Formats: sequence, C-alpha cells, structure tokens
Amino acid sequence: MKTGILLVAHSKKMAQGLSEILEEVNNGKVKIATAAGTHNGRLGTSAIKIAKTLEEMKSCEAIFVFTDLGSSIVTTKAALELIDEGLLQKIYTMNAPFVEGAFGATVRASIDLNIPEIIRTAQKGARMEKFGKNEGHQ
Amino acid sequence: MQDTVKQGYFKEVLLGLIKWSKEREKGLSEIDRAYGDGDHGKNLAAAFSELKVQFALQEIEAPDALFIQTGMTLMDYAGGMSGVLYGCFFLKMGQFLKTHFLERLEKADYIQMITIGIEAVKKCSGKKIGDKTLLDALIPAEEAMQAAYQDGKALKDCMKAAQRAAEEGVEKSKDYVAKEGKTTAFCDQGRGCQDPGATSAMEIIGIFAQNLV
Repeated sequence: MKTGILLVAHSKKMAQGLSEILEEVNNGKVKIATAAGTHNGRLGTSAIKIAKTLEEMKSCEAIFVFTDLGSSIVTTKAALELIDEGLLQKIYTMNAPFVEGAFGATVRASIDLNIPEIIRTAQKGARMEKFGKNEGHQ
Repeated sequence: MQDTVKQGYFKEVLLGLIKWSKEREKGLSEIDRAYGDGDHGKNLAAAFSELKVQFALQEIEAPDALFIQTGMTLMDYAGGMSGVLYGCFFLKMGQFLKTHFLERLEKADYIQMITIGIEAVKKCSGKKIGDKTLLDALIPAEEAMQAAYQDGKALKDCMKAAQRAAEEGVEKSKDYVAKEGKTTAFCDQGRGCQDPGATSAMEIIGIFAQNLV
C-alpha cells in the first residue's frame, strides 16, 4: 500500500512542477497527486476537485495534504466535509510550507510509513534558515 | 402578505444572482482592487455563468437540487475564498431544503435555512465579525432577521431587516482591519475600504429579500 501526497494549489502548472520534483525522490512507495486550479482551468482551488482526488487516492494507507495560499486551506477543509469517514481517517492536513514540506514528506515517506516522522520532516521546512539572515545586496 | 415560499422562488433567486453577478462583475472587482487582488467579481461571475450553462442543459426545478448544484458550482468554478464560502452557504441550505421543503417552505423553516447557511460560512471560514470578511454583513443580517422573526414580523420584513443590517455591516467594514490574507501585505490593511466579500454578501441577501412576495 502506498503513502499519498496531495498537492493543493491555485495554479495547475505550479502543482505539476512540484509533482515532477517530488517524483525525482520517489522510489515508488509514494503516490503523488495534484488538485489545482478550478474546474474550468482558472487560477484557484476547488473543494469538489480536491474531494474527487482524495477519493481516487483511497487505496493509500495515509494521505498527507499540502496547500499553497490562503483560500486553498479553507477549500481543503470544505473538501474534507464532502468525503466519507473511512477516507477522512487516513488524511493528514499539513502545517508546512508547500514546496519544502511536500519535498521533506516525500523523501521520508520513501523510507517507510512512519506518520509522526513524515509530519516532523515536513514541518522542518517551516523553520528553514535559507541564508542565515535576511540580507539586502545593493 | 403570504408567509410561505413556493417552489418557483428558488429558481428566481438563482436567475437573479446569475444576472447580478454579470452586472456587478466589474464593480465588485473594483472594490476588491482597492486593497486586494481585484478578482472577487470575476470569480463569482465565472461560477454563476457556469451555473447558467448548467441550467440551460438540464431542467432542475427542485429547490434542494437547485441550491446543492449552485453550491457545488461555486466550489468548483469560482476559485477564491468567495467560491468555497458561498459554496458552503448554498450547499448547506440545499441539504436543509432536502428534508424541509414540502411543496412550500414555511416561514420558520426559511429563517432556519438562512441561519444554517450563514452558520456554515462562519464554520467554514473560522472568522468572526470585524475580520473584514463577508461575515461583517452576514452576521448582522442573521441577527436582524432573527430579531424581526422573534417580533412576529412578516417574512419579507424579516429579510428586509437582514438587508438593512447587512448594508450597515458593509459601512462598518470600512473601519475594520484585515487580519490575514493578501490584504495584510498592504500597510493600511484595507482601512477605509469597504470589504468586497461583505459587499457581495449584502447584495446576495438583498436578492433573497427582493424575490419574496
């Protein structure tokens, strides 16, 4: 049984781009899916699309959901109200950055399904100091 | 003054909203542009124009089916925060109508339907009054509607009271400061500007009110 990673984003291209990066570190244990853009392909998120994608992932043992901006979070919450209880039990909505979080989770999930460790690895991305400090270069 | 609502009302409200969303597309986006990203009118118009297409393709007349379809379309096509929140609003009202609309909707059930819709928006958004959202119009509307109902007012007057309270809520939203979202990146956080979501919510409540006889 695979571990699921769902990328919820306003832009289809952004989600697909991240998905490509994640596939690079996926050894086959992770199912990576996207629910991005509206039904008619505009920028935005759709609770219906998220709920349908989660349904398609129901064979996964656990599903970790990563969101991008503002309304994608509320949309995801609304989607969770549209799915059945059995599937809901498997879902983890992640307090983590979209890119770094999903990347960390995919790497960790490629080892084994250790849920607290996957969450911890994803959240490490939120505290990342990329340059040590903010600096302006003129 | 009749105090029940017949089947035709629900379609009239939705046809009114389809027309409204087109007419107000630019105006609502303009209000949004003052301190947001200016897509509020566009997002709503995209969803309601899709709804118009769906209504042309299939004959839906049952109030519960109409409102559920509207909720799903808003969720699927609008894209922004407004889509999911108005989506919840219509979806929950539609689910309520499924068990409560029997040839007509009684006054008490109508009041409860609107209450359920607004409560769903509260729950879904996690926001309260003063957060500079659509709730700045919806919460006063709900309170005024309930107060008028408790006073024994006719249904149309209950909804007129809701509309007036929503209008006052929109005025007050000018003084509120946004706490999260794109707005917070602006230094004045929208102070002095009326909230686009509160504005559309007030106008939607207005259309619910105007279609009552």
